[in-house]
Amino acid sequence: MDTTQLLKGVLDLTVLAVVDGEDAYGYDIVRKLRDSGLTDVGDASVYGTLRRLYAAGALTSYVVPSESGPHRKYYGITPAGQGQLKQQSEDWSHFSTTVTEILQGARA
Amino acid sequence: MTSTDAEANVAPEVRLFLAQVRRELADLDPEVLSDITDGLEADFTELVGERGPEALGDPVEYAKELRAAAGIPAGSAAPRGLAERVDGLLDAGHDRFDAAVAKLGELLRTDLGPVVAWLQPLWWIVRAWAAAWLVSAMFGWGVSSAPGVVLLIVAVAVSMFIGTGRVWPGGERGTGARVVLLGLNMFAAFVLFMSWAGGVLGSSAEYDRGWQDGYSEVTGVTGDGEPIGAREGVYSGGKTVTNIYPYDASGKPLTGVQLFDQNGKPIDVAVQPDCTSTVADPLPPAVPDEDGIITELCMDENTGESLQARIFYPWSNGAAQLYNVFPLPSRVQPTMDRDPNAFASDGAPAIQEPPLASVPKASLPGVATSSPSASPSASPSAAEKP
Repeated sequence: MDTTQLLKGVLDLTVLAVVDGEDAYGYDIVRKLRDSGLTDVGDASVYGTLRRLYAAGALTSYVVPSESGPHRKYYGITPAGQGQLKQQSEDWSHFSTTVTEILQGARA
Repeated sequence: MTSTDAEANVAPEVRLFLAQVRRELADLDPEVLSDITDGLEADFTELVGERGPEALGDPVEYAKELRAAAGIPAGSAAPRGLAERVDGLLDAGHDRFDAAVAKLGELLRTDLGPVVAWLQPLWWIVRAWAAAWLVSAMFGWGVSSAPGVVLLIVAVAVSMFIGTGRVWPGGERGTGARVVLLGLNMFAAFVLFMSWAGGVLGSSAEYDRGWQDGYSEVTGVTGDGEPIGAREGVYSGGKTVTNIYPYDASGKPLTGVQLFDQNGKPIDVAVQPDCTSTVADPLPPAVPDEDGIITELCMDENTGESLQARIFYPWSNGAAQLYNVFPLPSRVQPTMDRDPNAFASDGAPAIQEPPLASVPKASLPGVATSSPSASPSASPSAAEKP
């Protein structure tokens, strides 16, 4: 099954969840998502999501200079972002439970 | 540009990819664009390190996906036209240059970033000089003339403003401006080459002379390194004058003209043997003079043998030798010494044919020109030696 469409719906949630643990830079987030099993997640989608969440005030960003190369841009979660994460997590739990039940009911 | 040092460590394919992505997003507000792409050098570098350059994918697709995820409406980007392709070429060229500098830096085990940054303003001055040189040459001004200097100052100022992006086409991101800038820079390089080639081939005589004059003014010496004031004789265009052929106002050659300077001092060309009109006849053995000294005359550059030379003889007023009466008579002879009885001998010194049979008439308003009498009062003769 093509998971691209499904991913779109949960990208905000997953990105917020990753950043909630500890501040991370874009590629770091991409890697964590992929390592967690979302192997089809597109790099550009993650960066676009970061941009949108940042513009919405859910994320904060800061630059960390590097001595050997270009600087890194880190993202951290804001209280607003934490609120959004909590809300969306609940929505997702409810949603996924509902979908799971429907699927189980259909089989039964 | 944030840091040249940091940028030097970014792989060229990353730089190229990022430049292409930025171009796809060019319709965005610059602040938003820099916000979105900020830090991507580092991330892409890591990505390439992990998954290889292929993982970067297609910049157009990447930009599209980024837009979609960020909720930015697709730009009014028309299908890629000529401007975009030219832009792409310029970006690629720039990235290739950066890559080459970075590679050279690695080879030399030094960071060339500061060197390049230092060379840039230097180039701004050099190209300004090229522009000033070209315009000066067109108007026939010397590079060191007053208008030439003013022009140079203005050109440097304009070039600096363009370089720092304050004056069009500097600092513009538009394709047209970039092409114009590239064209101007290449033209400047061409002009520099032409001025250099002109100087080397000697066709730019004005420049050479200007330089020589300037050099002489500064050091107070001639090309030989001898102080000007200490040199005898008459010089024209930096060359020794060996004889003078006067013409009257109607353009006819004159004979027996006595020349004096502004102080009434006779003008003496300090005649030297003229080795350029030597005759390569075999010479009788050199004869020591009264003091037993063998005076070397002209030497053949190839064989080192003595050659006969053209020796100039003075006019006379009966009492003294006059070297300020022109044209001076001369003859080709094997020794440097002037023979007191030369005019009585065979092959007496004679006045050579003037270089020009006649010259155009000359006039000065309100001045009546008079032709001197045809027969000179002084006549060539050998001076009596004591």
